[in-house]
Amino acid sequence: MISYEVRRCSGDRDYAELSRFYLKNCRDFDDDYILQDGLLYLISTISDSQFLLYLDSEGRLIGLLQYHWDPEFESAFIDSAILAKELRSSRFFYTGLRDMVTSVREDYPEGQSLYFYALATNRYTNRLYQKFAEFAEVRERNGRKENLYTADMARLSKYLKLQW
Amino acid sequence: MPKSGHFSVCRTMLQEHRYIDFLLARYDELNLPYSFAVSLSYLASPLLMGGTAILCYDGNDEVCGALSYIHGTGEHNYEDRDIIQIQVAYLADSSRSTRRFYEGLRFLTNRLAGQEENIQEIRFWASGNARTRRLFCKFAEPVAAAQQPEGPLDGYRVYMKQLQDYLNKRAHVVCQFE
Repeated sequence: MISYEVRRCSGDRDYAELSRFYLKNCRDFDDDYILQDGLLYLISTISDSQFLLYLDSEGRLIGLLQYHWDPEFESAFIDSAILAKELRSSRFFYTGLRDMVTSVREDYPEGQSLYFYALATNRYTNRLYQKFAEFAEVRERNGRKENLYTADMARLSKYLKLQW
Repeated sequence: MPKSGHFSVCRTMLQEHRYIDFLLARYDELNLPYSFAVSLSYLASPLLMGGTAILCYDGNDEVCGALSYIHGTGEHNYEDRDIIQIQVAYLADSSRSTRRFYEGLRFLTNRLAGQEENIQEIRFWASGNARTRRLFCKFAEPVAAAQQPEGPLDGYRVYMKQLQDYLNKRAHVVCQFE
């Protein structure tokens, strides 16, 4: 496993780098997702989002997690999780999920649940999420159907063997 | 003397991606006086609003600058398409030269002259310091001023006819650099 550092996004330089990373990788989402979709998405969400950045030993961005607080649901929503191809493994997925849950709890200790999306057409992600989360509803984002999942924070923390 | 480069309009998504990636990689040097999200919306607007993004390549075919514009103004709901607003005009430090500056202006003017909208007027904003004022007042007229938390901004206007005349007069001056 390659060595990496994880930290929060701070400042415009980080915003610029994560935007480059997002735009470079977002066309992997599906064939119809184009550069303009990525730009509009970043412009409309970046100010209200928190980001966790994964950097390799040379400081290059190799992964990002994006989440935000939804006051209506009183919960955090995970909006994007993007990893460089060489990091995509189930082991790293759980590492990332632990990082995510830890920082969401730091930011929003009052949050009871965590919500996240899986592209409806992606069977792998949907099956993965069903291991620790419950299907909530189908939503349309950026013109594509996505399944929304929810997990109870306390149960999820226990599942990930995090202190509660 | 630097090897000569060229300007080229982005026509494919790959080229548009190269345009935005080039600018984001040099985000600090752009010194934009806005929040990141607002800056990104300006940088990306030519790609999102049917504008034009132009890249400058150096003699080694590496991108060394970007120039872009949109049609129309916010006050007229972008329907006044005979006015263009420059959104980005940036050359990497190592690639800055008087010659390249005028090549860029000339490329822009030639492209605008060939557009069906019958472009009459060019507008742009620049940071309000003495050096940029000296440079832009040579061919444009300051028409607006804005105060951003990060510093003052000057708005300029130049009519197409004026700019073409100015560039024609400068043709011999530019030759000295070639």
